[in-house]
Parts: sequence; structure tokens; C-alpha cells
Amino acid sequence: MLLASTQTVTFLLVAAAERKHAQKRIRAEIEEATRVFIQVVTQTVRQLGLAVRLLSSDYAFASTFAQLRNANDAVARATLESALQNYRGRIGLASFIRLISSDGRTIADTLSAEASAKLVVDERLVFRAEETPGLQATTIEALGDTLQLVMVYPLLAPEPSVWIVVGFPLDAALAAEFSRLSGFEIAFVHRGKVVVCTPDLERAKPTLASNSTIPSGELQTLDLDGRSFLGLTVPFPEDFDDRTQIAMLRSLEAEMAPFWQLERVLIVLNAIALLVSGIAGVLVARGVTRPLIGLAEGVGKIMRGDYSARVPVNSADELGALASAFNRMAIGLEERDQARDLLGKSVSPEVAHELMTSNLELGGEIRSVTILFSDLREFTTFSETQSPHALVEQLNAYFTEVTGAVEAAGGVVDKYIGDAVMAIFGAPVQVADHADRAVSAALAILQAEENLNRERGEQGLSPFRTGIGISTGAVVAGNVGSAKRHNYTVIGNEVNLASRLESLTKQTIFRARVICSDATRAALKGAHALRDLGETEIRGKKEALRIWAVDPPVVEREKEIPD
Amino acid sequence: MKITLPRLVYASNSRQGLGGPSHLLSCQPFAWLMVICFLGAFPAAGSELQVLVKDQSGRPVESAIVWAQTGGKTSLPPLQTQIIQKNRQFLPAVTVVPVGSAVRFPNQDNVQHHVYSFSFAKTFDIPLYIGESPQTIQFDRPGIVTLGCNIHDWMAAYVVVLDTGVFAQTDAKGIASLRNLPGGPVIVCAWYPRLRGEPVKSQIEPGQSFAELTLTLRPAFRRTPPDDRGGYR
Repeated sequence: MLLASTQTVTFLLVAAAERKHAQKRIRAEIEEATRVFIQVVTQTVRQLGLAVRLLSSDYAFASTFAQLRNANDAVARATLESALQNYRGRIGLASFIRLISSDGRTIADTLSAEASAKLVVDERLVFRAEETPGLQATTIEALGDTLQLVMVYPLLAPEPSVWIVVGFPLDAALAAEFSRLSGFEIAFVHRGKVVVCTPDLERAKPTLASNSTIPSGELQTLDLDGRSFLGLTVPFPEDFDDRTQIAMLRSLEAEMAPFWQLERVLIVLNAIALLVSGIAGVLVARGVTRPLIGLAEGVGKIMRGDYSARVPVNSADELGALASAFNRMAIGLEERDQARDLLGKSVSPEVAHELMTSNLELGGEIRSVTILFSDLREFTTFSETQSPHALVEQLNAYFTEVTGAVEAAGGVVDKYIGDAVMAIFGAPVQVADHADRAVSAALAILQAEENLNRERGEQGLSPFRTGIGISTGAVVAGNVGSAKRHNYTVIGNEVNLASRLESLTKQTIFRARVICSDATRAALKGAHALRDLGETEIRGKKEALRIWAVDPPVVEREKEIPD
Repeated sequence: MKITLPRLVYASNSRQGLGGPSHLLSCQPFAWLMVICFLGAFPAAGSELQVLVKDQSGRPVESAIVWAQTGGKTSLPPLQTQIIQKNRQFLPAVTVVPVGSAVRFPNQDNVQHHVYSFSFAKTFDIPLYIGESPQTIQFDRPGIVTLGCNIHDWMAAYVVVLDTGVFAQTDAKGIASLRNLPGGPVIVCAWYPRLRGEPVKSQIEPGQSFAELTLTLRPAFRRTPPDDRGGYR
């Protein structure tokens, strides 16, 4: 739209300027042509005047005239007219020569009697001549279908006794000749009537005459007989005649033809430009929207969790860059998703979540947690009797049970160490009853082990026997390792203590499958059946610690733990 | 009996000639030429008439010639006089003579002149001559005779040929006094060099002592010798 309106405005401006220019140019041409025409006529008239001026003071002519006038008979008059014809022949340019008295009366004329009577030259022309230093005056009179530029000069003998009137024709031949030279149609308008004009204007005479009353000097568009003309009416010089104008016209069609051709070319060019820009606009828009739609679809897939979404990269521009950035983003998301899956498999979901959401920074904090340490009895012996494949398979089945029990109680498995499992309660997710949870988890592990052993018994496999140590206290929790590779874990005496307490379950004197520290017992919030095992020496501890046994339900109590 | 008749001489000693100012005669000195006549030939019973001559715009015309037509009854005897050509001008510019007078045209210049007239009252020409006038021209018909020179276009002079002795010249106020008018109605005429057409006439009734005549004058035009403009042009 902007382009279209800009083009339209430009076109209109150009058209207006061109029209104005054309008018200005025509006006200048007409003024120039008129100037030339008047100059030519003036020169011709001056030439004619020089010839007449010689006649004006010609003694022989005056003498002849006097003799014939004094004779005043028919022969004398005929002779006088013959003499005038003779002089007209000498001068050449004159259309007629007439002798008039001071009061305008015709004495002799080379025109026919009829024409002579029609062409009235009154005494006022003589008066005008008398007022001038050169005793000469000019006027323009209509004679039939011609205009006559009429000049009067005295016949000096030596006073101006009679006057010589000489005519110069402003006729169709002159108009045609000048029209040919100037390229304009020409009309001579006299007293509001078109007397002489070039053939093209012939039928438009009345219209032209009525228009000639418009003040001259204005460029007019005249509709003459169905044709438009552009023209200017210029008056003859005042010392010729003030009732006569020259109208110079040119056919508007012919004059404006180059402009209209230009106009057509401009219209076609504008139309082509609009079409091309329209098509280009559509193409550009489609080039933009298509990748955008693809990107939007891709983003939608990502939002729905489908990280496999990819968009085609078709261009090297900003959209192409955006598409490849999107693809890189999708790849990144996909890799992260896979990493999270893997993480979830290798660490507990809580730790994985904590790792994903917290800043992966090395460092830690002191937390009050409960550590659970479980270990398989007679595992070394057991492992020697199994193939590696069967070993891992059976271990995995065992660990699955243990892990399930830990997680069910709200703990996280920190790590698997050979046949041992280390679990943490109270970190990374802080809970107040971490001791209770750990004790419950221990009982659940024993229960799960019993169930697993029942299945193993059916398969002819030896049962697993698990010992569990539980300790509670302050530890340092956090990401431990190098910048590239680290684990969320807990470090502290309580970890070692849990491991020691687990070892104590091997001592038959305690007859306990699960031993917890006195701190754990103190941290318990709920009621649990604990059996006081008294104080005992713990390796690595200077003082004896009081420990407690967490016994499973009564049914299991009768069974002795070997070793 | 002899009377003294004034003969008007319009001196034209300057190059301005008739191309001079519009009131040509008023600024030109003129002299009276004494002519011997016989007054006793006319009845002395006439009265006096004052004639005011004006132009078409009402201004008085000085040095106009005014006369009364008397049908030849008061005609003065012819005389002999001359109009000379000097410095390529006629001298005097205006000469009033009784009908039948003879005029010579001595050429005092060192170039030839060709004096002519195409006037109806007297048409003549004296082809190229120098010194004494080869011809004496007799003006035997009353009227205004305009003289020219075929060699010099600007030379012009007038001979007013009258068949009456009752004539006068207007003064600066445009007034001329005609004396010795005959009894009965009389035609009074006036003429001036720039008059358009024939002399103006007016009928005067007996006992009328004042008359007014209007002359339609054409503008004066300057006709100067070509060398007055400084040679080639």
C-alpha cells in the first residue's frame, strides 16, 4: 500500500509538472513565434514604407499627379490610376495604392471600384499621420477575406496636398507561410471577427472569434469544432492597429502527444513495479512465515516433552540461524533429559532432583541425618560359588529389594559398595523423623530379604543374610569430588559408626540383625521395640558406646543368625 | 492716387523653415515692402471690420492673412517682385501679391534650384538654374500658390494671390482690421500656411464690425535638410 501510494503521488507530481512544463514551453514558443511574426511584418512594412517614402517626395509623380488632377477628365483619371498601378508594380510588395485627399476622399485607386468602396480609409488616419514626425500612419482594415495593413504617406509638393495609401495583405497565403515556418495554426482576429486563418481553423472561426475577447496574454485551451487547441492571442503592435490580434494555436493532441506517451509509459512501469513488488512481498512473507510455523511446531513439541523435535535449516539468514539455534537447543535438551534418566538410575530420584535443581557446586553443609549401612553375610563365600553373570543378577535382585525398602521409607541410597548398601535419611531432603524412617527401612529390608529368600529357596539357592547398622548425628552433606566428576554424599563419623555397628551384628552375643547407636534411639520420635545391648567398645572410638538392637517381629526372633 | 500697400514678407532665414515651431509666423520677423499704388481708384466710403482668427482649439492665430472678396472691384494693380533662394530657403516665406503680378526667383546659392508649383492657382516650374531667374512668373489667377524645390524637399514658400485690396494680417491676438470694405454683404476669407484645405470663408453683413473665423490647422512638421542631422545616418 505504501509503495502504491508513493508511486501514485510520484506519478501525479510528475504529470502535473510535465503539464505545467508543456504549457510553459508552448507559451514561450508562441510568444517567440509571435515576436518573429511581428518582426517579419514590421520589416516588410518598413521596406514597403521606404519605397513609398521615395514616391512621397517624387517630383515626377507629383508633377504627373498635378497635371492629371488639373485636367480633371475621364482620361486623366484613368491615366492617374494607371500611373498608380505602375508605381505598385515598381514597389512590388503593395496590394494596392490609393490617393486620398486630406479629408479621406478617394482620388484614385488601383483597387476595383467595388473593393475601393469597401475599404474605407478615413481622414483620422491622415490626422494620425500628421501628428508623427515622419507623416506616416498605419492601420489594419478588413477587405473581403483578407486583412490589409494600410499605411498612409503624404505626397509632398512640397506640402502634403494629397496622401498616398498603400496596402500590404495579411492574407491566407501569409498565414499559411508563417504557419509552415512556426508550426502553429494562425488566425488574424479583427474587431472580434476571425478574418484570416489557416485551413485547420476554418470551421472554428466563430468559436475562435468569441474567444478572442478573452484578454490576450493568457494561454487558453480552446475547444474548436471538437478539437482542443492550446493557444495565445497576441495583439498587433499598437502603432499598427489596436483592434487586431494574432491568435497562435497548436492542436493540444499533437502538442501533448509526447507527454501522453510518457504518461502511458509511466502507468505501465508503475503497474509492473506494483506487480513485481507484490509478488516479491508474498514470497518474502512466505519465506519468513514458513520457517516460523516450523519453529512454532518445534517449540510446541519441546513443550510437550518431545525433545526429538528438529526444524529444517533452509537459509543462511537470521531465520536459518534461529532454526539451527533451536536444533542445538533441542539436542541439548534431549541430552540433558537422557542424562537425567541415567542419573535417576544411578542415584536416587531425590538426589537426582536435588542435583538437577540445585547449583552443581562443590561444597557442603552440616546436616543431622541417620545413616543406614547394610551388608550381606558370607558374601565372599557366596560369590566364589557363582558365575559372574549369575552373581550380578542375584545381587541386582537383592539391591532392588533393599533400594525399594529404603526409598519406600523416604531414604536415599548413597552408594553400593560391593555387597553393601549405604543409605541416608534426612538428606538431601530434610525430614525431622529420619531416625524413625531408618529403623522402619531396616525392618522393611529384613522383611524384603525374607520374601526374597523364600523365592531363592524355591529355586534351590542359598538365602541372603543381611546385617544392618544405623547411626544418627551431624554429617557434612554435599557434592564431593572433582569439578568434572562428583557425587552427592555425606561425610562424617556417623558414616563410619553405621558401618561399625553393622559389623557388630556379626557377633553372636548380641543376636541382633539390626544395631543402632544410642543417638539414633534418642532421635526416634515414634515407639520402636529396641533391645538394650549395653555399652561396647567400638573400633576407632575411645569411649564405649551404648548400642541397641532393633529386633524384627517375634517369629523371626527364634532364628539364630549364623556366624 | 497712389496708396502704400503692405507686402508681407515672412523672412525665413533660418534652416528651421516651415518645419519650425507651430506658431511659425508669430516668431518670424517680417518686413513691410513698400509698394506704390493709387488709392484714388477706390471709393473711400467703406467701414472697418475686426476679424478674429482662431484655430480649432480656440487659440488665436497670429500672422494669418485675412481678406474680403470684392469680386475684383478693388483689385490692386499688378506689381513686380521677387522671391529669392538663399541658404537653400525661399525668402520671404509668404508673399502677398495682387493678381497679375510678376515674380522673379533669383537664386543666390551656389547650387542649382528647381522651383516649382503644382498649385491649381499657378502650376509652373523653372528647371535647374543658378543666379538670375531665367523666367518671370506671372500669377494671373487668385489663390494660394505653394512653391517647392525639386532638389531640396524641405524648401517651401507661399504666394497669396489676391484680387482684392482689402486684406490684412492678424496680430498676436489673432485680430486683423479690414478697412475700406465695400457696402453690402461681403465674403471674408482667412488663410494660414498650416491650414488644412481651402481658405476659410465667412459672409459679413453690412454694418457688422466684428467677425470670427476658425482655421483647422494641421500640426507643423519638421522638414530639415539631411546634413542638419550631421551627415550620414
